[in-house]
Amino acid sequence: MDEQSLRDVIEGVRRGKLSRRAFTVGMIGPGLTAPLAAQMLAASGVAADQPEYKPTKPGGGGALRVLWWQGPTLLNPHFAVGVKDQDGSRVFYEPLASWDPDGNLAPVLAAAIPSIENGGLAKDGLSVTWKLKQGVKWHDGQPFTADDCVFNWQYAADPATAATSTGSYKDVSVVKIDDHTIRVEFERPTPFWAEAFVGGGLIPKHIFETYKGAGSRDAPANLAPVGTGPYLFVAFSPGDLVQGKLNPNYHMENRPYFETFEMKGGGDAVSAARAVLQTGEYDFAWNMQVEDVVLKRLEAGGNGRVEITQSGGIEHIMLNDTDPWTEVDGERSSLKTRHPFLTDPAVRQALNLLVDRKSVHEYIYGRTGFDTANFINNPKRFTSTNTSYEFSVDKAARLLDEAGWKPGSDGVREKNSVKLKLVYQTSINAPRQKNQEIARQPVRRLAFRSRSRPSPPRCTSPRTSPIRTPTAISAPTSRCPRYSAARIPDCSCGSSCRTKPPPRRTNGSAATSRVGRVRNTTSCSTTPRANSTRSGVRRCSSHE
Amino acid sequence: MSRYLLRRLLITIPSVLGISVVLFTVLALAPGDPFGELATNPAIPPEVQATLRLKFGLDDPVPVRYLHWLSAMLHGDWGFSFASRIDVDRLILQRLPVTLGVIGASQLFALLVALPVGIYAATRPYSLFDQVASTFALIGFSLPTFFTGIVFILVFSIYLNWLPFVFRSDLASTGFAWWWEEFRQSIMPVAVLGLFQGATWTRFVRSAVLDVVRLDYVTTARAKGLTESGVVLKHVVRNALIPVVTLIALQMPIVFGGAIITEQIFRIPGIGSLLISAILANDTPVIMAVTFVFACLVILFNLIADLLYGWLDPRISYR
Repeated sequence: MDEQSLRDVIEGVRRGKLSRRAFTVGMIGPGLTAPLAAQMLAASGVAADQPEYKPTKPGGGGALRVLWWQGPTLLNPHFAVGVKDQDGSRVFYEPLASWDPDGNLAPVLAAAIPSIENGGLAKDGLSVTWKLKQGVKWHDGQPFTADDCVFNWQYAADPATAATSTGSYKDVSVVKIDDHTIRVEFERPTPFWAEAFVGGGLIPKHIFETYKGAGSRDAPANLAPVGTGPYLFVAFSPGDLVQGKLNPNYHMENRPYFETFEMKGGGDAVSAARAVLQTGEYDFAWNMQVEDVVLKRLEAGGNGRVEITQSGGIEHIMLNDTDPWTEVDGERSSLKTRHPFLTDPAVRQALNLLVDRKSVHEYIYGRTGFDTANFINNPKRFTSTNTSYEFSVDKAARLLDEAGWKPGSDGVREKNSVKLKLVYQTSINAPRQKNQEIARQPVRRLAFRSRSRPSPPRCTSPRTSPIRTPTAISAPTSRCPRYSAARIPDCSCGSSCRTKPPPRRTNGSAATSRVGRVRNTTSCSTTPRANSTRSGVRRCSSHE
Repeated sequence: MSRYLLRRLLITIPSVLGISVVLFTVLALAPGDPFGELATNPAIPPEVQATLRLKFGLDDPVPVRYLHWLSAMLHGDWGFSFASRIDVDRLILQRLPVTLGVIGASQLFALLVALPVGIYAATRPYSLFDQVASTFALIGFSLPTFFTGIVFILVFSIYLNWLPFVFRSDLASTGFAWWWEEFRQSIMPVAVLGLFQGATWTRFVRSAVLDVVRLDYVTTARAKGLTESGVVLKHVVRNALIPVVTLIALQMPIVFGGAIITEQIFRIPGIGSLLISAILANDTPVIMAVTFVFACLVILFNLIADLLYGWLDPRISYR
């Protein structure tokens, strides 16, 4: 066993692919002792399971300063456009429950998570009953009750409010049972019931009551939140700074840990990493869309470390099923069209064989991602172990030959005078453009013709989860950039022109990497949001 | 003078209108949708995007939208930010002081560099000092601010660790400590902008002084037995600076352009970084308002330059 393979194994433990126990057993094989194996893990930064830290008093942590290089531009959770806004508002507003790093629901403003056993979930799947935590107070001292929950539903479900959270609320109805019990009712049996009131924060009725509907934009509290969260609002300037201070009446005992909270926005990812890893001006930065080589160089100074959290998001290439070169009703890539060759299973399979995921992982993402054949990679218990991928130019060539795609007179493969010409579009972003190069080379060798086309990053939050539900994508607008074949989805284009579930075509699941400066006394537990195991606001609660 | 001022002010109106038409058309024709990001989020139904578009009048034809914008602007309503859901004027007022502070300080800094260096170099043309100053000036205005900014960060923040490179608008300290902190965090952005500007001005000042220093009246002044410093400061510089003042005002657009980049690099919460984030978010009302503010500032500085010109040089009369 050489050093490299040993490091690979340790990396496996770090990622959770291999359990600590399996590692120790494996190390005893070559003749090491169990404590030595544990030390090897510790030296590589894989900490042992620590006893849970129980804080004895709130505060004592001083100031926490975090850097979100795309800063929040608004603080009303119902208006949040990207992750940045959700994160900014989550400091002040809280949901009934949120997701923990393993994808389990954890109660926040709810007394308990509804289940069939405790009677919270109706057996027919038509309703959920939430018991609310008692004694929770809004920052202005008013009690938090079922009326507030009902109001949040009315507020978000009203189309005139134009809330971005409306999707979670518009198809349900919410009934107040008593002051601390609500029932969410569905029109039809709903297996995924944890959508309304989970993830996005709840706003107080007494503050926002008069600003429901069309007047929602005039609410002064849109900029000065009054929530139930661990920090009281101090100041906010959109896109630049969010400030909070410890909420002495916070409903979770002996929390929060930090006395003040500051979230600075602006700049770019690399300099954000510098501000944490090199100069230490900030404690924590999130969303490091930086190549691993660069991160490693910044980390070398030893002032901080990169913390990689595996998320559900994947970098993947999507194939267009519709024909972008034919306009129907003034619409390109209309749902009424079919792509001339990307709907051919042989072509799709061949393309799947041509993406060198291993190289994408090794040369671009490094520690910050891994290669996978799965769409769902986290939480681990949902990850399929039965899938695999292959990179084989020969096999792809055979597939195409068998399907009748033969090189034509100009060297481009064709069948029935349809030529295999692709446009590969991605966003202007160093890792993605390198990915484009890696994917293009074997395709060219196989006598496809492919053109690459970058599109400007046009997003306020590039890390919106790239996994999409198959049917949720609306038809493209005429503004959607032209492309015919493959495209790495990202948030840059307004609509993605895809209607059917794409084939398994993932090249490397990117974990969200973040940068955290080591603080002597604290480590932070993560509080994830719905739909993703990527963690958002880190509420610090444990000691190292 | 007042008639001239009135006439100049009246001329500004059509030029401001023209600028607004061009800006609005360009923005309306540019691709991108402020609510585009919503479409990529499966949790948000397409109706929400449609409602938002309707609510903010994005589906009206461009001329109608322009007239809406113009009439609102005349009523003092600068528009409503899509990304932040607050009024644009609040957003800009929040950020304008920082930008004006940084630009003002950098211009002062540039003057402090350019005037002495330029004058001294011109009074001793082709001396060693002049050669060195000219070389540095050439380097200074050839290097773009985004490059010098990053070099400054690397040297002073990362290798030497002397200065912070993230500009903070929430300094907690008060009194002298506050000023010191503010000075420490402003020095790099101000120096980046100031040195760039100063390099250009040094060359202007040098050539302007060189033009004047050869004139006969300077020889006369020397012949009267005035001291050299008296000749230079009272007779030469006063006349040489007249064209420099105009040039300084005409340089303002470049300064604002540089400020946009510098603000982004140093995370200064000014209107330049607001403009960049607004562009990234397709927040058209904010882009419109910020570019408009920049345009108005440029026009204003041109006006100021013209007035100063007449005040400095009585030979110029305003009719």
